[in-house]
Amino acid sequence: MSEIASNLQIGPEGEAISDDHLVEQSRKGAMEAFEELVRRHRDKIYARAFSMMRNEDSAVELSQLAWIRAWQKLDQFKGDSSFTTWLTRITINLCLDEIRKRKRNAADSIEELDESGGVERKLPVMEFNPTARMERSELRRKIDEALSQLSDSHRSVIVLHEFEGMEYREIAEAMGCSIGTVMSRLFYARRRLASLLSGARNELT
Amino acid sequence: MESGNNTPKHLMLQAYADGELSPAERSHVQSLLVTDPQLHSEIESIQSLRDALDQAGEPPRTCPMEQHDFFGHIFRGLQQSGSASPEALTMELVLEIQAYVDGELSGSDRQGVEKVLAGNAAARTLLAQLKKTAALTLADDEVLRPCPESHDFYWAGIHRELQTGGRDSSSSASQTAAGPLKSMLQWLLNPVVVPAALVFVICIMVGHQFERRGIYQQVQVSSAYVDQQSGIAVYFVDSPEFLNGAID
Repeated sequence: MSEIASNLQIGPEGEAISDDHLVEQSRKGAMEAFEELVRRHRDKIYARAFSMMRNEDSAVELSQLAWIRAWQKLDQFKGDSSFTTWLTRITINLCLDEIRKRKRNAADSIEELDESGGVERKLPVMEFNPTARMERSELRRKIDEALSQLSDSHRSVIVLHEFEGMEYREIAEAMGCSIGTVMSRLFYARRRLASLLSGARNELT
Repeated sequence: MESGNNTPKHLMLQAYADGELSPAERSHVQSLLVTDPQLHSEIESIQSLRDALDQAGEPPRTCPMEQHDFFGHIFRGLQQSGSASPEALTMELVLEIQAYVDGELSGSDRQGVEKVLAGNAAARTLLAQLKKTAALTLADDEVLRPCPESHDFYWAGIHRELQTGGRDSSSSASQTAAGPLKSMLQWLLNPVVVPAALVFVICIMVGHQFERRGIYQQVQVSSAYVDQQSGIAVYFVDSPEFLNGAID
């Protein structure tokens, strides 16, 4: 780590340098201040991109692109929200763009089947075994797997609503669809998750 | 939001979905489904919900009455238009309960849903299921998922781009449009381009002189050198008049 970069973590009186200060320095062109922001929030931004894309390479690439966009648009950041919230929204928009691009390129038949409930109807009903206690990490792994099995648009709506706490209206704007579609997608996504986790969900009850 | 699908026709559809109708009643509903697309989509919604509840591994619905009485109630309802079953869950109501869980309803809508929940066991089952699923999903966001790249490697990828790009890509569309123009400008500024262009112009002019003077003629080549690699050929010509004429 460079001396400049380490100086940006702690101020002259030993206080932690705030994100706001680093953003201000970055606005003036201090790339080392921006690097410090990357150091602080890289994992969070990567994790959000991963939750949307479910692919390491795509998540790394899109999260890096989000940082680049953030640098380029730094003058547009008004500070209405925290820097990480603003950056997370940039990341989400890039992920949604990528998903739209992929959707255009690929046949959408699987997703249509998914939305009409076709896939779920074919899934076997999992039996509840009250004696099977799963470790929390195992439970999380199962949830992670289940989320990976959702279609891009179903997963996106879950991530935006559950993780980002976005309202139906905000999700509809971000995804370019109606509020009704958001509600329906959210329901089918949850229904699919419930189906996939019908064994695991008892662990949280 | 309003759930206005607790009509006798809808209740009959619920019974149809449950497989509780007699053959005659069943064929009657089937004929209705063929002619009425709205009913058809309604039966699909009912089926979807039933599937969801079945897959959740919980009782899909709890009937407070004896089976016989319950369906008797439905068919009495068919004769008395407007009566409703406490167990009816339409897709609209399902989404309304979901909006309730998600905190998307206003005060009066919330009260409306709470009233439905109080009298409808299937609605309560659905509410519990939605809450559990939301809790499970949130658990995934707690998973620590660090970036697989080292900071230096990750930052290097960003840094490279920052050095080549400027600030504010809000006009990215215009930048994209300006792309070819920028490339052309860069090409023109290449130091090789100017001398190459000069040679090209001189060649054109000399060629024009040859043409104007009509001196294209057969000449005796005494020897030639051809560089295979570059493809450049040098010819040695015997007649000095030829050269004199070319440079006049």
